[in-house]
Amino acid sequence: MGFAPLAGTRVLDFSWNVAGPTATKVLAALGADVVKVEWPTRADPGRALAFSPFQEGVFDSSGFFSTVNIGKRSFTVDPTSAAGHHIVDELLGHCDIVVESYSPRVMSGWGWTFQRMLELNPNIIYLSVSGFGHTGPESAYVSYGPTAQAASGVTAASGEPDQPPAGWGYSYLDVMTGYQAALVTVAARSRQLDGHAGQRLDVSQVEVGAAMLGPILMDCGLNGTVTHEALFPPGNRAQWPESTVDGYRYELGAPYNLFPTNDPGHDGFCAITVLNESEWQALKAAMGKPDWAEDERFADLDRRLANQNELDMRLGEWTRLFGKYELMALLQAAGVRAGALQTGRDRLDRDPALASRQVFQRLNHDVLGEHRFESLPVHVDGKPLELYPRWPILGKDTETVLAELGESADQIAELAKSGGIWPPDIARPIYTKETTS
Amino acid sequence: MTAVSGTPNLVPTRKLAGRVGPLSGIVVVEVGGVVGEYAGRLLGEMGALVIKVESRQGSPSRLTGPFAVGAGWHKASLSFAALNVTKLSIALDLDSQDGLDLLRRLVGRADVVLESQDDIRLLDGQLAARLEAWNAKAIHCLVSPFGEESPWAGGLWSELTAVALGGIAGVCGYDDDPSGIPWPIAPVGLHSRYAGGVLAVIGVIAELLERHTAQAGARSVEVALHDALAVSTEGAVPSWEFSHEEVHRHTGRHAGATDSPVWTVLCGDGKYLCALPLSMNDRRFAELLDWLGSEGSEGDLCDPRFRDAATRDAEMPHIMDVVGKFCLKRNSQEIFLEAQRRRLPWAPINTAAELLSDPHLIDRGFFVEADSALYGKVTYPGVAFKGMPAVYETEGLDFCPPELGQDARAVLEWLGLSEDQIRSLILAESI
Repeated sequence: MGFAPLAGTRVLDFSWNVAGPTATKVLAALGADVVKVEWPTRADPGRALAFSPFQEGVFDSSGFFSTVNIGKRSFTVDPTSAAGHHIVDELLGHCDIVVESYSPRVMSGWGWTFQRMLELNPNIIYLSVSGFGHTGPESAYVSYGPTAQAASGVTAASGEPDQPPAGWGYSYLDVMTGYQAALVTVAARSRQLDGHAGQRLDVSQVEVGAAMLGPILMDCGLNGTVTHEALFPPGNRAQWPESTVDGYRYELGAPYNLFPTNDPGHDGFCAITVLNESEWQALKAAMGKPDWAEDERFADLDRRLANQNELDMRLGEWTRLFGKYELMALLQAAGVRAGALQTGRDRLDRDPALASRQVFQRLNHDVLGEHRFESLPVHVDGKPLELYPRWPILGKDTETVLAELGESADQIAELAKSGGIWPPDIARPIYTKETTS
Repeated sequence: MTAVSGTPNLVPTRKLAGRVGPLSGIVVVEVGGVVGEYAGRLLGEMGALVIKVESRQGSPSRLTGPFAVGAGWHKASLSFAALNVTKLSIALDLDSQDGLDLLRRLVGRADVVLESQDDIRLLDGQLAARLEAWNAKAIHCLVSPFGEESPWAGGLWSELTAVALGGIAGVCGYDDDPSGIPWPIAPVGLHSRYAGGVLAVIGVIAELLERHTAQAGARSVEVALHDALAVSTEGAVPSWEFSHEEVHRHTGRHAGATDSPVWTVLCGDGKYLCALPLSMNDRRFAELLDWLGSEGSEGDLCDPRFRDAATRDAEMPHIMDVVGKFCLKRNSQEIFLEAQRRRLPWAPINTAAELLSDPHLIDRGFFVEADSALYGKVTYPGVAFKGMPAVYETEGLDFCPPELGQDARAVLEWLGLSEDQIRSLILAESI
């Protein structure tokens, strides 16, 4: 691989679900050797998540899991057994970074407090990724992405009046916490190479969310805005005359919304945002200067804001004449900020920008075959980073990693015989070599 | 001709050296538009000295709300403050030779040149070409809406068009049923800049690390907001790639190809709560049943059929109906505490104002405070990590939002300009 600043960096990865594994996916994309540690009877629940073309019981057929865990190796060990505990001690002594995303009492419950890790490896970086963080009165709380989103304030701030918050259609904070955790870990690795002794990184999803509320939090603190009673601009609007808060989309304009097009289905929308007077003139010209748009109710920003329902309805009648990409192209050419609402399929199959920048990379997965995977979309020296085509096929690398630890072939065979690297009551999947990268 | 503007004599300046954090000693010169401002803040938080070069009119984000009410009409932007805390500001007139010369000297001292290329294209987009002569060793980090090389490069952009194209808007909104509101609703915030910014900083720090170990030469790091969003929507892309199914919007829940039980419930105090029923295993269900039963609110959930996990999953809408009725009679905070005591992953849907008095966040030292002459007493969200030093631990540094050109004098002195040179630049209004 080309750009690999973490080449030679060994990451022991106990993390599961999405937030932690997103962080270690980034580390792997930067060249780290990430060894994912699991035990088949409590494997990463992500392995059972959706998008699997195969029957239940196969550990390695989830497309989503394979997307989030690309670039890693897999090691199976039972940390609760005596033999397994000893192996994890060895692994901790051998790695540079250990990552976990359990609730805070799990690792220490198994005996691996940070203090114990330091005894095993004085220079270790221990990264925990959790909902509420490992200190403070709520540190014992359990959380998934939506829990942290609710607690952090990022769920509450959008929607329609008199409705529950519209919230997030996915675990946004799993993704963003993964990125934030990767960022601090790369920085910590740099300090480690400078000779800095053991580091204990504690990343909280609630804080990642609250940090993104920046201006809203400041508005509440400084101006005394009371957000739970506030009337937010409805839907996607930047501003609304009756609103008691100042936007929070940090842009001001009207029209500013998603508009229907003649594309069928529930995703046939195009965003149109007019942020200044010349863009309004450009939009009117693009529409062929219809009479309604010359009405004095739409003559300037204040009046367009005051008459947004009428404005959006009128504009929506026009936008329905076009497909969403057709409308985007027409308006972009006319000097109006417009963007089609894109689904997953749209981004994969219809987006020339993402295709040209190799954002989704086609690779051959051991079990799933050839598919497109989400990359780490950073270009270095004008070239996209290339994903390393390797996946943590459950238990596939256990023997190899044990050999790297210095265990002899006889010792490994003995361990396997005693059920130390795979539980005897579960069939260990064997995949054919020809599909294995 | 004027090259530098602002009021460099009037406002006290901030110290340049001795910033705490893993990037202490790294100099970042931030130029151009607004899309990389969050990346600059992240670099500053990690201890880098970030010198923000603004035009004489100031960053466009100084004009976006919300505003500090006490500062007067639209004088002190809170979105600017949030995106630019920790930075120093110098305003240069880049149409003048003096201004351009100062930019060259600043870039000459930089380890990282962070360039936002959006509505503003510094030097007609030719900064990268000049870097060879100005500072061949600096990392050039370019953040833009669509990328430098792309069929959509240079396309018009706003936050709403970005989240529409990038995929966030399409998966957020209300349940797509006939009685609901079919429109997608993009969550408020600057999510394109957050996603693009954090990935750009990962690239920069990785590049600094590579230099550290491999003595590599100059490299450029480039991130498009559109790319960053497109890979950051969890299931939407893999669902199509692996199952050929598009996901559909569900109120505050994961968009999915199939429906899912409602988990946003209204509590007796008028607050909504996320009563997450995911991973409702036997232990969690037993806890829930015990809790509801202890208050006589279990309905028919003690029926033996609910002991079966598959039945529970199939009848989860009914279970959530019972939970919803239970919560409607109770206070959200009381529910939160008891749910967490029973290790159910529930939480109230907090609003920003409530977070400011959240004992947990206060205990963790999350907030940063500053007393700004212009803004008043400002409380910022701080860093989202513990265990690594951050710039907020620097003694004697204030975290007031940088006023336009506030740090010009300190920056020029740091560049080695004499008092006479600084005075003449001020007189010429080059700074």
